[in-house]
Amino acid sequence: MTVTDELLMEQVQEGDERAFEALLSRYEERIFAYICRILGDPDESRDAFQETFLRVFRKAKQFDTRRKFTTWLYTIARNVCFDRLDSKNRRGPDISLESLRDAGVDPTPDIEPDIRTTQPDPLAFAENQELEAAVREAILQLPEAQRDVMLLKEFEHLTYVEIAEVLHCSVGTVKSRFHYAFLSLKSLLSPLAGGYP
Amino acid sequence: MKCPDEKALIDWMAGETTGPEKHELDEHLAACDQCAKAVQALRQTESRIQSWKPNPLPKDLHGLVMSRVRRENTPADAPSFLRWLWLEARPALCGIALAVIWIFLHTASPTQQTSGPQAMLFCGVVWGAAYNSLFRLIFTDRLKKTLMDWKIAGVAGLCALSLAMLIAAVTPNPPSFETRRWYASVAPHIPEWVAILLPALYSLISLLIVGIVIAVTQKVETRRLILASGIVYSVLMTLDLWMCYLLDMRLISIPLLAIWITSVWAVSLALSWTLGRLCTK
Repeated sequence: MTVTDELLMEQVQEGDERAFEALLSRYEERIFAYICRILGDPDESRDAFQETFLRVFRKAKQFDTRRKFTTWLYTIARNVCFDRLDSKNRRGPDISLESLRDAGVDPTPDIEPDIRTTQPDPLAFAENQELEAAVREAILQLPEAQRDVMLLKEFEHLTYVEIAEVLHCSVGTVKSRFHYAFLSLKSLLSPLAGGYP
Repeated sequence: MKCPDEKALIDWMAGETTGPEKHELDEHLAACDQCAKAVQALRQTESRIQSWKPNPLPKDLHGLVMSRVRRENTPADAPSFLRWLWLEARPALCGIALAVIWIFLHTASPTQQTSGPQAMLFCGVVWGAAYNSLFRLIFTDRLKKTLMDWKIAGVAGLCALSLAMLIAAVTPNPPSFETRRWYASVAPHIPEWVAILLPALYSLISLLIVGIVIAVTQKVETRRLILASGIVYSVLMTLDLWMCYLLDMRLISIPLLAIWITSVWAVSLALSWTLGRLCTK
């Protein structure tokens, strides 16, 4: 039987490193992906990822084990990312593929070279890459509040209630932001090929 | 049932529609072609959104986080002050050990005179290690938030001061020797003990000012801070060296002085860095 996150957090509160490592293993991939989507820069994401889990460890005693761990974890990850964006004068909303390229950041995902070359169909792979870049740019064009909700809902699969808790707003606000974000993306992405047949 | 709007369909797709409402919508979608098409269009959008693939987790990140957590996780049964001293002050302890050994060797053979450059170089090495350690103390993540804690500031200050006084009092030709002479010449009313303390104090104050500024901003990585400590130290050493030069023109020629300063910088920075890396892993 799988031990719940909250039970593991109780052990972390006692200073149990193994319990912390179990939580890290459970969520590291999701949290890294989430941070990368917010920050865009893989190097900065590495630092933010470490800071996120160190904060989890340091603030473990402040965690109320009656609450859901994932909500708390995403709140910390988001705060770490926005602290970093704040320190860069909140450049987040202005991120575009061009600005990323200007800044010397590869806007394409950090995919291992062997994966790139082992694609069976180079044309399809190139189309997928194009689609992915377009989706990324479309999401980055969303207003910050809508993008926040979109990332947590579509990629992290949090419920409206959980997202409201992470963002400290009402469920109605979350719903409304998600609707607007989804419909904006629908109109932005509809001219593109690919995706659902 | 009346055809739902797109927002209701989005909620339904997101799994946010529950209970009788969901049941009713399921039945309607199974029967209504127009709504089925609308759902298909929304699913296409969702599928495209999902094409933004996640960045793979770098292999070393798990280990990096765990090593930092282990370092922070002080066992409850360990004496916290001694553990803190052992973990964080090892470079300074190495520096002090070097100083003690050198002083012992020197006093064991009183006929051996230490030249200015040798003393400078040695003091540079010791101070490099000490500054490195002090900066590590200040900027360790766990401790930087408590920089203003008098215990930490006091211990760090006392370490620096003790070391400075030890070197000033025991070595025959330390940097502060010339400084002392300088104070005696320009301000003879200053007591000798003040002249001994002042060089250590200005070093310490500079160190603490830089430390406080960086700690307050709390945005700098430890590696950069180790480098910063070396730079601060080098600047202070340069001041000392130039003071020596101005006090006694016969001490060393200008080209040699430049080489000497550069060597002191390089050696103390390199040693400071190496000790920091070796002793705090």
